[in-house]
Amino acid sequence: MRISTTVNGVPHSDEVEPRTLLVHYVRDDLGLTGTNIGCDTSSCGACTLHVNGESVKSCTMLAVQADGQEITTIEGLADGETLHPMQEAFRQCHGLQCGYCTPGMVMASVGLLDENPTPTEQEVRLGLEGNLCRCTGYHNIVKAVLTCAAEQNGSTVEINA
Amino acid sequence: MCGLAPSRVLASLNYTAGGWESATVRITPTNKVQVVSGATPHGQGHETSWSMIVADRLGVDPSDVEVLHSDTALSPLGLDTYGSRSLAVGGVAISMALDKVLDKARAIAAHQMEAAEEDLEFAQGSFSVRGSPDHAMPLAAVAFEAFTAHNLPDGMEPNLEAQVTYDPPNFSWPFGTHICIVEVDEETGAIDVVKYVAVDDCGNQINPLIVEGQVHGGVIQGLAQALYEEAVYDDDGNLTTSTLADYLVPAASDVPSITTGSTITPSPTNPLGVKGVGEAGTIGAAPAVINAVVDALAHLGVTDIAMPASPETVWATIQQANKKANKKANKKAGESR
Amino acid sequence: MTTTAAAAAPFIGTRMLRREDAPLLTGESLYTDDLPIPGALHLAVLRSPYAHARITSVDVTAALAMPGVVAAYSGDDLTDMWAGPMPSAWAVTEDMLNPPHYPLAVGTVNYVGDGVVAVLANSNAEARDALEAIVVEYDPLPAVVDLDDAISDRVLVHEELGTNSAYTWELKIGDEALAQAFADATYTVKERFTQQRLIAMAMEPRACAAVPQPFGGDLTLYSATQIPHILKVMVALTMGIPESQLRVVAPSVGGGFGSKLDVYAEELLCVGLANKHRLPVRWVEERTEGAQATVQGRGQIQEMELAADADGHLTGIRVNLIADMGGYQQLITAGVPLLGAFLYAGVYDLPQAYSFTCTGVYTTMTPTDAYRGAGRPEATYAIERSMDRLAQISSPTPPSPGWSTTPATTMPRSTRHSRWSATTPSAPSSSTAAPPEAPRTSASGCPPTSRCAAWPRLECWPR
Repeated sequence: MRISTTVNGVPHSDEVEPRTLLVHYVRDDLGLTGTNIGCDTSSCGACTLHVNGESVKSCTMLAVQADGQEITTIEGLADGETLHPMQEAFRQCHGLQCGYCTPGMVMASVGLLDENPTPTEQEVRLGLEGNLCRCTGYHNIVKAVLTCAAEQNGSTVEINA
Repeated sequence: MCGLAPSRVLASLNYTAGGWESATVRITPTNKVQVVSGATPHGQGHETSWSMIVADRLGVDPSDVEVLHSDTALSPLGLDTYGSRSLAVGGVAISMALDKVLDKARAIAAHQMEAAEEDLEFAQGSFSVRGSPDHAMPLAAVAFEAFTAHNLPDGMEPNLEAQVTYDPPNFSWPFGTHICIVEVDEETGAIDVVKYVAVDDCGNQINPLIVEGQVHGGVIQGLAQALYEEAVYDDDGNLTTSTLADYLVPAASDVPSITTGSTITPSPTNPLGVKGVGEAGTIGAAPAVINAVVDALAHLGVTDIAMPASPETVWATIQQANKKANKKANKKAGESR
Repeated sequence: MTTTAAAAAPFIGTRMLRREDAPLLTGESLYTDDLPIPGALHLAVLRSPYAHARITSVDVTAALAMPGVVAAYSGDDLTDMWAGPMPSAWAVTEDMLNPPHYPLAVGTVNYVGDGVVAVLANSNAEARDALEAIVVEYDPLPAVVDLDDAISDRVLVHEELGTNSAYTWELKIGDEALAQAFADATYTVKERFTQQRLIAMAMEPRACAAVPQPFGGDLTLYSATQIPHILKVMVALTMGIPESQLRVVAPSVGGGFGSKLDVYAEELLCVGLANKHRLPVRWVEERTEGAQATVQGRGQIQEMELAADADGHLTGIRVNLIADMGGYQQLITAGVPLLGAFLYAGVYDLPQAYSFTCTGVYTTMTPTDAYRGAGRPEATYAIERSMDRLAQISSPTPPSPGWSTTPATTMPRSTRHSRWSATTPSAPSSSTAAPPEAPRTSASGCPPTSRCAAWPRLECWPR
């Protein structure tokens, strides 16, 4: 089946098998390997990207469902060499170690702040429930999201530690 | 007991390999530095840490330091990364290689400055004659001279490069105290980790940001072992917890933030005074959490609880303790009639 | 003459941001499964659904007929591919029993997940589709999933060994003093702890790719591994490939925690099949597959006994472990529990009265190996939990409920234990804990002298 998508601002038209997951289309057909696969039960969130601005686990969506949609992957977040504020916040707060969960975590975090620009620590933790990390213990990830939110709102970060 | 490991100790334990680590430090003609390490990072930030060690020692900027690793064509010698060993063994190897490179650089500088080696000081990337700060030769110049080899001491090989394989004389002994406060709901068995404090001593710290990250990650893995995780096999040997939907790696909402602190007791067994820290969090967390849970239920007569202390396990443990207490009370009542 | 570090270090000790971050944050970094390898064949492995069974027949005919499938091999088909069995780098005793272990099972399978057939196809999906068409007949045997059952030898995992016990390893110091300590003890603690099996679940699933040069025999093995150097030596030995023709690369690796500290069947299969087909061969695990086919952590029963005098000072410790090897030895399976052998006294003073015994037993479950801490969290758990118990039974102050009322009596016991190891035991009913002593080091730089006198120094370690 032929699908047309816009990915990171670039139009694509491709022939895909109906059973192809969006994550496989993005990784294998488009060569955008920043989006990662970490599980087979939609539990880990490493595959999170944005479809029409909403964060979606791309393993739960078929490529054919993305026909006509706008997709943003981690590769589309930075502006040239300038990191997106969320990426910068992760960097400042040491919110990544091995980096494998990071693209999904960053995309989910951007989505979280879009929906709730002033989350509490608890709301951040709940909001990132669908993104697993094994390296950081989440402490610095939460700090990064709160830091980004604070920067966008001109306030200060409070973390219960 | 981290920083695997003195090779002869491994020999006494019948282990088939050694526990050394290798490092090469190479200063290029334009004063950039190549570090080749046998450690293999997979999230621990080695490139950053090694560049910091080199930058301080040689007076260069960390961005001038290139770190080569994880490829046997670029880094042929090594015993890789595990057992909290990369800094305590690999980082020390780098430090020793830096010593060797600077010894050679000093000899070149002394020769070209027509000064005695012992009269030279090395500070901020430059050799100068003690007492005559204007009589100086920057490392950059020494590196270029080593490359051109136009005027080296008799018998000296060109280039500034040194390789060291360091076999540690001992393990490293990081230590710490972890404190956990939990609240247990007696009716549901649910456990809330109210506060977790970890104070760890891993000797001198190269990068406290990275150290904290290692403690965070390790503590959460230990906490998860205490409360959530178990690979469960049925009687036929089937793994019933084989997906991330049923093997409970915690999400951010399942775990608390952690208060970390540190003391610094430099290791006496290596010149950097460093120990390992990668495993410290995991080592301290499970007993701290379970001790807290048992403490919370001690008034019910609970003296132990199995890991993971799931709500079901906690609830069942409470029921059993209550039953035991009732039995005891009934027996006592029966005796007093 | 060496140069000392600059008096004021501008970088060391600072919270410098990581140079690794930008490529990881932007998705630019390449993990093993991201590597573009044109023309690669994809490997998929059919795994045993039985924990213990004899393989009676393997039929790959239907699989070979499926789209995109290039080849399919059973364990019997590949016996000539290996110069030796899968490497086991830690035979902890001279007489350790180690059953032969090959990348694909030959004759019997010994855990659910044990690899039985390797399929090569033009895509990952086609390879995995083909697995479903393979017909393997098994003759099921009883499973062994409980450690007490395993050590009883009721059912043998590897019949040819005659027992499930791979080894018994001992560290004994002061046998007589130990016996006396328990005979004279005012307090004893006897606990049985279970260290449950854990799965590392690094976020990056395992993956590898063997890329042969078209001519000359050189090959590069890319692998999500913690140990490219060790892997190189082990692959060379196991495959009979000259080291000079082998290059091993760990690209960006997404966590390991010990689970990528190993030499895996799939790495060897990729190398062997790449050389055989003169094409790159790559593999990536699915998470569910990995839970079974990647080494697990821990898996021990600990019997812990403490003896203490009237003041609550430790006078002796006895440890007996049953350690779960799983179906086979992997790289350092047998040695992991022993890394804790030297830590069962924790931070506490102990005279020379200690006994540690560990029996490694085979079971029909995934092989165990290192997992963050490898032997040391288990030891720390046992001593800290046991000291907690000792404090409880020896303390004259009964434990009180609630944590907000009297902090000194209800703080987790491990903090009170620092009093037991101080030279003057503080009265347990004091309302504030004595501040911990500053760490002491002896002239030779060893741990505090009172403990050092008790503990074997490096020079005393058995040879």
